Amino acid sequence: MDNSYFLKALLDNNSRVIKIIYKNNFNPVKRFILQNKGQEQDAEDIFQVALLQLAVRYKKEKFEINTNFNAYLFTVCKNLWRRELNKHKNKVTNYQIPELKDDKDMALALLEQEKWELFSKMLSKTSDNCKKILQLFFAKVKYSEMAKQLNYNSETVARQRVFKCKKSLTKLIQENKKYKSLTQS
Amino acid sequence: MNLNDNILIENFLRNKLSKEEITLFKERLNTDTNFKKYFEFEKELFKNLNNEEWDFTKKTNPKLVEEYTKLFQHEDVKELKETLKQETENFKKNNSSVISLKKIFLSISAVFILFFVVNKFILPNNSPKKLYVSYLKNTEIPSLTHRGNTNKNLSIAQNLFEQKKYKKALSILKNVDSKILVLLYIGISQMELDKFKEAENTFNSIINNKNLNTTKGLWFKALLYLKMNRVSDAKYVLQKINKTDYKYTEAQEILNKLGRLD
Repeated sequence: MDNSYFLKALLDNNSRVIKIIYKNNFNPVKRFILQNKGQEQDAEDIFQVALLQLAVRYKKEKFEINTNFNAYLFTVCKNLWRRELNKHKNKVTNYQIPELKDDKDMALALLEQEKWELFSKMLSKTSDNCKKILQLFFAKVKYSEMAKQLNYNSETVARQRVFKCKKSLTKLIQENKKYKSLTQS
Repeated sequence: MNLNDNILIENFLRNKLSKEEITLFKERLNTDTNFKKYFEFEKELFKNLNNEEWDFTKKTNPKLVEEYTKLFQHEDVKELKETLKQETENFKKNNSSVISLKKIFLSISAVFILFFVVNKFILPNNSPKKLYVSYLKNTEIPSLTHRGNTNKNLSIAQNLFEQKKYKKALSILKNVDSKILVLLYIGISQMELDKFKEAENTFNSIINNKNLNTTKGLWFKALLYLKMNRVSDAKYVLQKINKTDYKYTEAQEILNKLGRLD
């Protein structure tokens, strides 16, 4: 089924299709959240916010989903939950943590999701070697371990490769139009 | 930017710098704008592409933030919000009625199974009265009469005892020499007749006799307490039976079974 079918249905407030979306997607999302320090209520909120996010994004511009709708929705939910968990991390006590369903917070989350997609896309555009080593780097693997896995002679070689690959990824991102528009002040 | 600065920033982001190094780092951020720019992007990269953190960067274009915030407040989006709330409730209802039927069925089955298991396996064998009956049944009592010493009264008493005519057996045995074995028969008869206090005294006199047969007295006294449902007293007596004594194995068995009743 065409991915835009579901996105259109969200915008049209089509409850028949929305029921189908719930039937196919809610339980895996709930399971994920419960296994990651969340409660049932969190799962319900995250799921609703994710669908709202997709609707609003589609309203602003008819964007395309490259994988299938269900996988994409799941990723959006995972990211929203990760974002939620991080909200409560390094905050100063008198900082007001924005409510998940607050309109401005949802707008910020939407833009952060777009940026995340851009970063992931640019990473996939680097060379195979760079992709491999950067994935290890972002997974916080030790340099010594990286060198072992990729058969480099030493840690130093691994460091230099990471440095070089990060540079090319940085260039790809910073020259990207979308990035520029997302971060322009 | 050079490799060394890159390593420094990486270590900062991974919390590997010492307190002093962190202070120096923060000072440099305040004075060196290029370094700060570089750092900000490295942080963005790091937080976006690792699987644990999230990039809440303040660099987001404020115009876009405003535009999207307004979109979320649009009429049709608000309607969608309501629909989603409704659909969440519907989904929960439809799913939970199925779940609770299942739960109910499972809990009822569990109760039945538990009931069955307890009645079949646990209770029957381990009620003190039932233990009394089964272990008494399996206790061999030496005959009162033996070769070379056929006391008429003893053999009559023996017969009556075996026929469970305990009252009559007692009336004869009371007039016989109270050797240990005779006392045993007396005690058992009293026990079977529910003459508990008398049985207790009889068994005590066996125990206090300081004769080889005294451990037999312990065993029967324990059986008596089982019949009387005095479980802790029974346990106390059973624990006195030593490894080489009469009925040690059986005593341990009973203790294990009684243990489960607590």
